[in-house]
Amino acid sequence: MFNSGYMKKTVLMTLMIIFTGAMNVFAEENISAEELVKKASLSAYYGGNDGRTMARMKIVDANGREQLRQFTILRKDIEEGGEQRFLVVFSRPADVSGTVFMVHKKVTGDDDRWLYLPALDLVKRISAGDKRTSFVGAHYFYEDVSGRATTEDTHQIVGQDEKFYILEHKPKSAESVEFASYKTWIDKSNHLPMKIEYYDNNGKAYRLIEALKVEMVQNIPTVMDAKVTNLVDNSYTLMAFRKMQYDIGVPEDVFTERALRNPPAQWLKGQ
Amino acid sequence: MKKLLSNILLILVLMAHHGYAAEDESWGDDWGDDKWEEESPHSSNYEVLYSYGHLLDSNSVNIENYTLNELRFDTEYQYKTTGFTFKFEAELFVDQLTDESEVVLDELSLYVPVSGGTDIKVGRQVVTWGTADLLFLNDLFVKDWKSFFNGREDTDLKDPVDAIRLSHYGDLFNVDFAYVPDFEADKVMTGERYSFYIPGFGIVQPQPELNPVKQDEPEFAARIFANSDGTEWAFYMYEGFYKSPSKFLPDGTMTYAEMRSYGASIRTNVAGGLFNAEWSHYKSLEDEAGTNPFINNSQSRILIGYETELVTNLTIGLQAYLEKTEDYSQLVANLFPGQIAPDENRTMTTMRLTHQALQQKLLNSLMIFYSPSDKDHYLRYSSQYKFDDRWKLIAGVNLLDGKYDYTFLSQLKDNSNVFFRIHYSF
Repeated sequence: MFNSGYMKKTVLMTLMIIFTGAMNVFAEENISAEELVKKASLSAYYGGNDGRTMARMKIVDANGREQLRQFTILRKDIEEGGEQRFLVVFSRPADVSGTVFMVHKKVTGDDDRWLYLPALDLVKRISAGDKRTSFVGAHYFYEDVSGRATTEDTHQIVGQDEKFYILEHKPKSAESVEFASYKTWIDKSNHLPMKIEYYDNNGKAYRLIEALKVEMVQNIPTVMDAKVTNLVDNSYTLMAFRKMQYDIGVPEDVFTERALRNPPAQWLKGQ
Repeated sequence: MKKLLSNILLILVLMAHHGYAAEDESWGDDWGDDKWEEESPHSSNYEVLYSYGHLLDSNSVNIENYTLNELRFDTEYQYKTTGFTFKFEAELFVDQLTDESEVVLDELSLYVPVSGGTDIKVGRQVVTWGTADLLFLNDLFVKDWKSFFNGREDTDLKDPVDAIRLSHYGDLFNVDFAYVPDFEADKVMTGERYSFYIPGFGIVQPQPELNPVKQDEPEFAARIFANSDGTEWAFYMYEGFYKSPSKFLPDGTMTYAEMRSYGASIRTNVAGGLFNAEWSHYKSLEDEAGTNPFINNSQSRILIGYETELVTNLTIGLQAYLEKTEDYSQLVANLFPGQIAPDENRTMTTMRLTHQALQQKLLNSLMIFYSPSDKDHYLRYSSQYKFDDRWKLIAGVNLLDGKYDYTFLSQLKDNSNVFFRIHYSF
């Protein structure tokens, strides 16, 4: 009797595992483009509840001339997949040292963005429109730093292979962006967008963002090296993240004018 | 021209001395490996800067035919820990126009987060607030107008001040106090560099220079401000003196009249752009009725502004501004013979176009000030090119003109100039 009960339980559990496993596969197989995009956004921009990283950019123009930027990024999620706060504090080169960029990212409506210019003690608000302009001279746009709202585009799964889902996105408001469409290659294992390619009105690719190196940081798959290439003139920006930490416990009130004027050393240093 | 060449030579010698070796030093591993420098509490930056500006009008009344010819070496040091931040910035300033060399202290401050939400910053520092672009309503902190019309950097307009600043950041709103123990007046035209209008004399470059007498009394400014879901609002007050000489004593001495101001501002996103409005009221404490022609009348100032991106990398900023003189009939009734009354409503409009290109290595900026009431204008244009992280070259023009000689911008018309600056920072 005991054995038979045990057997029953084992069989039941095995079935449950198979069934739930099947459910998972089933769910992923039928995952909608919207869900994938949400997952990709969560993987790329919402790791942990907050985070801190040092970052460097090497900006290389079409003639091979280089510029470098070094900064620290602090991030806090107010709501998973929703509102966020970012603080970007520049340390190099000399002429931007002490400049601080802050974003209050919103779900609906325009993000609020400020730049602090230390020489003027000026808290400059940045108008909402210029999201798709270069971030401090890099091939990255302001919008790439904090992420484009998933609601701004329509999404469609256009293919997949063993490793990636391939999605195509079209802007709901075409006049607000420089692209006609873009495609994203989303890693099936961790939902990180590994490659994003932007197309003009003729369907020609002109801009490429690639994740070059992904590592596990506190069990969160994290992009450590990335590259943006201007496919028209082959100029590019390399971005590297180091000393990354998640869940450091930075409070929301760090992301205010106080931090713009006096970036909080306590949270900018490694914990 | 000789001086110009010798200055350029001096820069080149300095560069050669410093050399490019420092590039690898400051960036450590120069990219590529994981040997990222440990965050140090110390940081320092340096800049060498040569600037030259030439007058456009060869018939100008100015004594020299240039408005700018100077070499500056700037040193900045910061020590930052969780407990405090110490900042120091000083400049060696070699001015060929005034034949003076001096060391200027730009900052010497200690910032301490005292408790929870309260910070204190003591010492020489720049203090700024308000929402307008190069027009000032509630920002009554010292400005250097001598640096504004000749091609110096925008940042030179804001002068540092010895102050105690106390800031409290609360849940609902924040409060800022600034106490300046010794009143700092704006640096206005006195005759060392620019020609301007003097009643009875017309446009001249007065020699000897005018020498307004400054009071040794404190100034006090405060602000209450908050960000409510993206809408920033603020209330301001100031108690001190008019920042430019506005009072004439019977012996002819120019000095500063007492004033008090209060005001408010709002700034928020509207239709993909940025909208701001600001208002202030200046109360002339020594001439409340407006009957004394030797002291400013009270004023109300109001401004609205809108900034938006026209196309990618091209931004437009528009402002409309009104300065209303109160008790105007009293002012007119009490004018002394020959005195020109200002308009009751002085208006100013500005348009700023900012264009960025070549990965922001090229930055073009055009700002036009036009006053419909004064019928004068000021065109302020510059192009900046960054060769790399160290070298940048800026060239531009300042054009001033107007219908009458005595209005604010028009009086400076003989100073219209072309200029360039070379910056090397490391």
